Amino acid sequence: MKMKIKSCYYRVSNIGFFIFIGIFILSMLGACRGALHVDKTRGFKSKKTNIGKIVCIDPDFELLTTTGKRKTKRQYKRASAKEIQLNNILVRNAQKNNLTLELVDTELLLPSDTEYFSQLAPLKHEILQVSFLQDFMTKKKRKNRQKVFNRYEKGPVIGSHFSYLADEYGTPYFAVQGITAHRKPSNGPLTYYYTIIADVVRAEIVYREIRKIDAPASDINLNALVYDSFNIISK
Amino acid sequence: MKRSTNLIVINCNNKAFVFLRKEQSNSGLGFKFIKNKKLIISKLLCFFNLKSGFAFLLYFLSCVVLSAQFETNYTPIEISGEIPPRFYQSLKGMTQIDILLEDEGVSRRRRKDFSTKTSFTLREIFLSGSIYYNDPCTPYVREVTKKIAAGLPDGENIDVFVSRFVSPNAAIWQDGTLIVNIGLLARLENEAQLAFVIAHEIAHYENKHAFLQYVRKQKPANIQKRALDNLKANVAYTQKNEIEADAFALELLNKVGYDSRVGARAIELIMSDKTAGGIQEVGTALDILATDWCGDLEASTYMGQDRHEAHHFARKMLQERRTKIGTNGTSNEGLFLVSENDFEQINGMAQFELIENYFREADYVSALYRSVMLQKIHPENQYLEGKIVESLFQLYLYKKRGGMRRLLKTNRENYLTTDLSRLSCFMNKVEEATLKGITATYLKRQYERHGTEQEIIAISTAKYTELVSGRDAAKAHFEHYIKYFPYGKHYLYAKQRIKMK
Repeated sequence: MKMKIKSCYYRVSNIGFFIFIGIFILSMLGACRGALHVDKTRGFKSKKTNIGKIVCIDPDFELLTTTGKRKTKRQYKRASAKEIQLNNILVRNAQKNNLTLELVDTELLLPSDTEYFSQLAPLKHEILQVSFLQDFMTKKKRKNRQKVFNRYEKGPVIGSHFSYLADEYGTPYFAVQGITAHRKPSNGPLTYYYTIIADVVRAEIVYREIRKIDAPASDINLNALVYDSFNIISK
Repeated sequence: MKRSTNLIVINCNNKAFVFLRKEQSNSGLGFKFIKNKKLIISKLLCFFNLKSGFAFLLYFLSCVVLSAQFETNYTPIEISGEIPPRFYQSLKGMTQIDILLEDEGVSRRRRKDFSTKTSFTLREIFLSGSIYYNDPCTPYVREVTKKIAAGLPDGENIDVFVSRFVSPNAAIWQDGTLIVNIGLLARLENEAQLAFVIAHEIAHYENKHAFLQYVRKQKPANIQKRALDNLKANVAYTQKNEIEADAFALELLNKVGYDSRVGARAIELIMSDKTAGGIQEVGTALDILATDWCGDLEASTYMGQDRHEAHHFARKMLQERRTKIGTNGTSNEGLFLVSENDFEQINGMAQFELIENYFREADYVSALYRSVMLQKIHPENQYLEGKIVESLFQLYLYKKRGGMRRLLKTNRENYLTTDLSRLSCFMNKVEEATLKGITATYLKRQYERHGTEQEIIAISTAKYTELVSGRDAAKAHFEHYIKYFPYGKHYLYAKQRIKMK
C-alpha cells in the first residue's frame, strides 16, 4: 500500500501545528498497523474454476522460534491456540466471499468420526505428497517462491480412487491450508500461508498458492491474507 | 438411479461384513444409508435374533476368507469402527507423563516441556492416519507385548499400536505408547524375534532413555518420530543405551520363555532384506534385458553419493550390537508362545500391507519390486498384478512429466539393498520410450486376462491410453470401466473423463 502525501499549506499556531502533527502521526501509525502488501499483479491465464464449496481438511498452524543459538523450537501449545483463531478466520472470510467452507477440525473429532482416518487423512497425505513430488518449477521461479500462484489446467495428478468422495461431501474440491509462522532474531517475523486445492473428480490439483509476508501471524494479517486468497478462489 | 458407494466392513479381528448400498433417488426404494456401520451390524443381528451364532458363523467365514485371500487376492486393511479410547486420548494430545518422571530430579519446567513435546508429537503421528486401529495385526502384537511386560512394574502402562511406516523398526514413548511398524512385521521370521524387538523397546521405556537424553541435551524430545520413518533410526539412542536395552531384552526373553538366540537374527533381518537377490525375477517379469541393468557401482552412486556409505555408521552400530547379542545369547526353547498360526497370518498380511504402504508413500520402485517378489509365492494373486500395473503406470507418468529424479531422490533411503539400488538406477536412466514399452507390454497382458474383473487394471489401462494416445483414444477404456465397475471408486473420475472435451 503506497500513499503519497501532498504538501499542506495551512497557517496554524505553533501549538496547533504540533497537535495536528501528533494526531496525524498517531492516526497513520494506527492505520498502518497490520497493513499488508498484497501482490495482485500476476493474472491467471487459465480459465476460471468457479469453486463454490470447499472441504478444508484440518488446517495446520505451525509456530517456530529460532533463538540466538540457531536452535529452532516448535511452540506447540501456542500454535494449537492459534489454530482455533485461524479456523475462525477461514470460516469468516469464506462467508464474505460467498464460498461454502466445510471445515474439518480435528480438535472436534469424536470417537465415531472414523471417516477422517479412512477418507480425509489419506487424501490430505496424497495432496501434500503430490504437490511436493510434482512441483516441476524451474529454478528461476523457485527463487521467487514467496508469491506462487498456480491455477492449473493440467496440474499435479492425485489418485483417482478419491473421486467417490465428491458424492459424499457434495463437492469435488478438497483443500489443504495452513500457516507457518517463523520468528528469527536476525530477520524478524516471517509468515507463510499456503492453500492447495484438489479436484478429486478430475484427480488433479487445480489451485495452489504460497504467500510469504514479513510480518507476524496476527489476526489482522491473516484476515487480509485469507480474504484475498478466497477472493481469488471464488472468482 | 443415483449411484452411491458400496459399504464394505471388513474387520478381521471380529468378523467380515459386506453390504451393498443402492439408493434410488426417484422412487425412494432401496436401502437407506446409515453412516454408523456398527449400527447396521447390530440392527441386523437383532433382526436375526441369533447374535452369538451369527457372529460365530461370520468369524468362521472371515477366517476362511482371510486364509484363502492370499492365494487369489488381497484386500488392504481399511480403518473402520469407533476410535479406541487410548488412540483417541493420544489424538487429543492428552498424553500425561509428568508423574512418571518426578523422581529424576529435573525441574518441573523441563518435565513439562518434554511432556508437551511428547504429547504433540504423538498427536501428529496419530492424526496423520499412519496408525492402524481395529485391525487384525494390533491384537496379536498386543498379546505378545502383554506376555513380555507381565512382570514389569510399569508393564500395564504400555499400549501397542501398529503403524503404516515401512521402515523395519519400532519406537516407544515415555507415556508407554509403543508403535510397531508394518515394515518390521513383514521382515521378521518368528514371534520370538518380535518379542525381542518389543522387549528392547520396553527397556528404553523402563530406563527412561528418551527422557534422559533429552535432559542431557543429547537428543531432542521427539527422536522416536524420526526413528519410525527413517532407517537411520538405529542411531536414535546412544550406542550405550542400545546395548543396555539389548541386554535387558535378552534377560526378559529368557524369563518369559522365548528363545533369546533370535535376537542376533532379528538385528540381521533389520539390517538386510531377505528378499535380496531377486533382480533377475523382476527382469523376467517385466521383460527387461540383463544388459540394461546398472552395475553395482553405478547403482550405489548415481544419486551423487554412495548411499551405502552414508548408512555405514548405523550399520556399524547394528553390527556391533549383533555381535554382542550373539555371544550373550542362551539357548532356551520357544519361538512361539502366543500363536504360530497368528504370526504366520500377520506376517503374510504385513507383506501385502508393506506394498500398499510403499505405494501410499509414492515409492513405486519398492512397491514394484516387492510385488514381483511376492508374486513368486502367490503367482495368481490379483492384488499383486494390479499393484505391478499401477506402479509401472506411475513410474511412466513421472518419467514422461520429468519428475523421475525427484521421485527417486525422495525415496532413496529405501533403496539400500543392491537390488533396489539397481532397479531405481534403471528407472533413472531408462529412456521414456523403453519404459513406455515395458508398461504397455505388461498392461496389455494383464488387461487381456483380467480387464473385466480387476478394477485397477481397467482404470490403469484407461489412464495409460489417455497419457499416451490422448483423450479420444481412452474414451472406450473409460466406458469399459463404467460398464464393468459401476460401484468402483474411480467411477466418477471415469465418467468425468468421458464428458471432458
